[in-house]
Amino acid sequence: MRRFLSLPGGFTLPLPSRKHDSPPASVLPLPPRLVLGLQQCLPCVQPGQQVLKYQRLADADSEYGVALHAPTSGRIIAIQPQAQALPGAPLADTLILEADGRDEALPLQAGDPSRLTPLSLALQLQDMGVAGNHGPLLALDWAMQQCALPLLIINAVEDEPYLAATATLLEEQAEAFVAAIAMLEQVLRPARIVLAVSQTDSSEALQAAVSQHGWQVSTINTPYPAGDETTLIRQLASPAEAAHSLCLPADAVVAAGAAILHGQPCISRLVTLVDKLDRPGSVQALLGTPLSHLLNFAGAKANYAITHGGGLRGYALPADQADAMGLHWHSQCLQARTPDTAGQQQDCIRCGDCLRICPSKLQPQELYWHCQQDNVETANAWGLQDCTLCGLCDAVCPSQLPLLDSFRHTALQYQSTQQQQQQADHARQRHRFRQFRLERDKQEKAQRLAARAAEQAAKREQTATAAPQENKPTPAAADKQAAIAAAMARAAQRNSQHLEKQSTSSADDRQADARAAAMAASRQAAIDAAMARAAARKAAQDAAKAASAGSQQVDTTAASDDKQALIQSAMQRAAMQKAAQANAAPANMDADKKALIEAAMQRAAAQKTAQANAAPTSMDADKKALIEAAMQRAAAQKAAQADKAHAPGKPEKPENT
Amino acid sequence: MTSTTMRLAPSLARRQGLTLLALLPGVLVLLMQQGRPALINLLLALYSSLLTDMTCQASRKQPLATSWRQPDCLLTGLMLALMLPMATPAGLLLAACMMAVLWRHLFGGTAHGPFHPVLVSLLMLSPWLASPLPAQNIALSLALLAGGVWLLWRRLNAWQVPAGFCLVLLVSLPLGTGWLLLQPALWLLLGWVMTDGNSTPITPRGRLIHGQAAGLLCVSFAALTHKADITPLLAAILLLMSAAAPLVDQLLQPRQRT
Repeated sequence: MRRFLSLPGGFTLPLPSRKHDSPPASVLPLPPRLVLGLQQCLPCVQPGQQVLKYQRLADADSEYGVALHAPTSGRIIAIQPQAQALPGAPLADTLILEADGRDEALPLQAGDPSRLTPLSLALQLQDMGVAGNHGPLLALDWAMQQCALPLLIINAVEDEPYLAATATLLEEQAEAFVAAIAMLEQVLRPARIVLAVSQTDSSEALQAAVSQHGWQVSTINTPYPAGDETTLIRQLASPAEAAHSLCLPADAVVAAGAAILHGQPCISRLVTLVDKLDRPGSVQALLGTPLSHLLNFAGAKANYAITHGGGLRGYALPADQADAMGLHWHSQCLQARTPDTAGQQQDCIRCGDCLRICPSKLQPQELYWHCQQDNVETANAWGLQDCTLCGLCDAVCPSQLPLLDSFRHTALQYQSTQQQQQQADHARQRHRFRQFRLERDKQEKAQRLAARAAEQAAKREQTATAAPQENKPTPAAADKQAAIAAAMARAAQRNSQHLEKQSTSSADDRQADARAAAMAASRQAAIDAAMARAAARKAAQDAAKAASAGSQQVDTTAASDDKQALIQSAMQRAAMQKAAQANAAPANMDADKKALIEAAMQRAAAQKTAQANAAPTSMDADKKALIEAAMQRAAAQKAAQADKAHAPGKPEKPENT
Repeated sequence: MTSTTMRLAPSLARRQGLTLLALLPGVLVLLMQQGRPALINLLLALYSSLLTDMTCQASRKQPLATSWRQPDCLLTGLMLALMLPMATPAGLLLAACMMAVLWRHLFGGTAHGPFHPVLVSLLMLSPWLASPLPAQNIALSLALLAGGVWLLWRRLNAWQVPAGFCLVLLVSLPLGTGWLLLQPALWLLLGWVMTDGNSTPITPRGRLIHGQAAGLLCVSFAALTHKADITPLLAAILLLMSAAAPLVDQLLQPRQRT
């Protein structure tokens, strides 16, 4: 007879007496079909496919998922959404396996734990489908950190009423349990290992095996929620160890031992079945066994209700869907209870019992109020996240309010909204980056186009005025160092140089040729300006669009190079033009001037349209030079500026070239 | 779909039944002391409150059986019959019971009234209560004390409010207010009214402070006035403290365990 454990507030938790010779766990007959929920895993088989026992059916879809293996041989009938044996019976993808009864198995390969690192062990456990309380038994991110493990707690405490599976496991599979802990010790190398057990009598059997390994057995005598991970760590770990110690449930440890030492994936577990007479009995059941099959085995007749879990944390499941819901790894206990109509919830009388008994020192009556109002924010402010869902407040409530149900519901709801919010944020970020990328590509393309147009114009002009009148080499080497945008400036510079040269040469003797060349040059300049204008307008449009999109980079160094080149060329041109003017005949001057003015007018128009969009430019250096030369350059310069400077023409980029 | 978890505490109806049962020693003592008029008063109070409650239930379209399944109204009637003096006219007793039950239903039944119906009824009828209450009834006081202690032992009552009140009362014994301890009305209010969660703070510290404040007010008034009839005064003090209960609750939140 176990002693009654007194709870805070003076309540006592009646725990079923456990005999020393409890009946051994029976093995469930093979069900005709298995219903395997795909929680956080992706199926790797097709409907209609024939599978063997131990064959992998689904892979983990993230680092928090675990793989799923076929519990028996058979055929996959369907993969469809069905109700799960989880709180609220949510719909999720379910794999339905029709057993063929032959139970043909894949050969198992025994592993060698001596070569495993913590990370490879964690990965192997995930592939073998060994789940802990949250996700895989060993969290992958923990295993990746490779920090030293000061304390490993094996949690065999089972203090919730009606749960008996772990105790049966310890009694019947003590050798496997010890071997599994030894394997974990070999791989994880913890500084010390503590076995937390809840009863002294069964731990005596383990004592002998445990003492030779140097492990510590600790009997937990604190009241009910002592089997929680956090409570155990708080109780057993010293403050220095608490942050890094690990607490693993005993049933999962045994499964991990089987998976690593014998290569056997996790396909079954011990379930406590509580019949109508409150007699708990343990049964080894395959994962995915329909709940109706289990309850029929336990002797439940028609018109039963299903409670999934122990006496305090258990939750009700719809009995009419018992065929569709399959056993999962966290199904420790199933109770077949007839519907209890006596329990009618009434209004809170503020007796304060829930407040007295709450192990987390919360105020369940306030929490309940806010949870009923779906006021998640306020419920969190009252500590909903600190609630361990132990169910004690529900058990002591005289008004029989569904406190635990509403807390669980609201917590799950909060969790799912958080996940959705996270996904939405992620998608929004992705979308923003895509928009930015598209704009950036467009701008780069526009720049490239403008540069190419300017280069083509320059080339065409070179071929038109192929006369080898160049006295000095073009400053190609210096220009190439500048960025793409500087090409346009180069083109304009080259353009004006040719023009000056033409006029100077015409001053000597070949005036007619020179005039024709000047005319051609001015026409070429007009064409050049028109093309540059078009490119500038296009770039300005792109830039205006991009301005709304946002962040982008400006090649300021290229721009300053560009400016310097422009100033240099303007100075050269000014000097040359002065020389030309000194020598030129007035008639030729007139003709030349006319052509130049014509071209200049056209360019000025282009400049005006560009300036309407462009930011104020710093043309001081150019203005000090001759105005004509500046106007010649202006079109090309505009194009370049509109490409580079105007695109980010926003407050965050106050400095333009 | 509700979970069928195990119940560690009695249900609301059973709880109220046990609270009613705790009045049994007091009722027996009263019957032994007073005989027939006490019996008539008790029956009158019980019947009137039960009938008023059933009428209210019918008007609210609730099942009539609630009236005796959850014997709230019986508790109210019994308390009034014990508290009011034997010489109270039958009409006044009837009015008191009806008013208390109506007050409870005015706010939606058992768990909703901001002030305790017995207190409200006592305070409203205090101008017409001619004769002083039966003072210094040692046997009745002891019987009621025994019932209250039994309720505390069964954990049906929170101990903080009565403890706070008694603490102040015992500390202030040198002031000459010891006669308060022999008033049956005091023990009745302590054990059955001040332990009602609806009109007291819900946090343990809040309840302790609530009881101490009520005790302080009661002792100071008693020491100043030396008035034998303490019941209306106590009722007024407790109503005042009930009004302050939400404030106390808000100021004294227990620290959450993180």
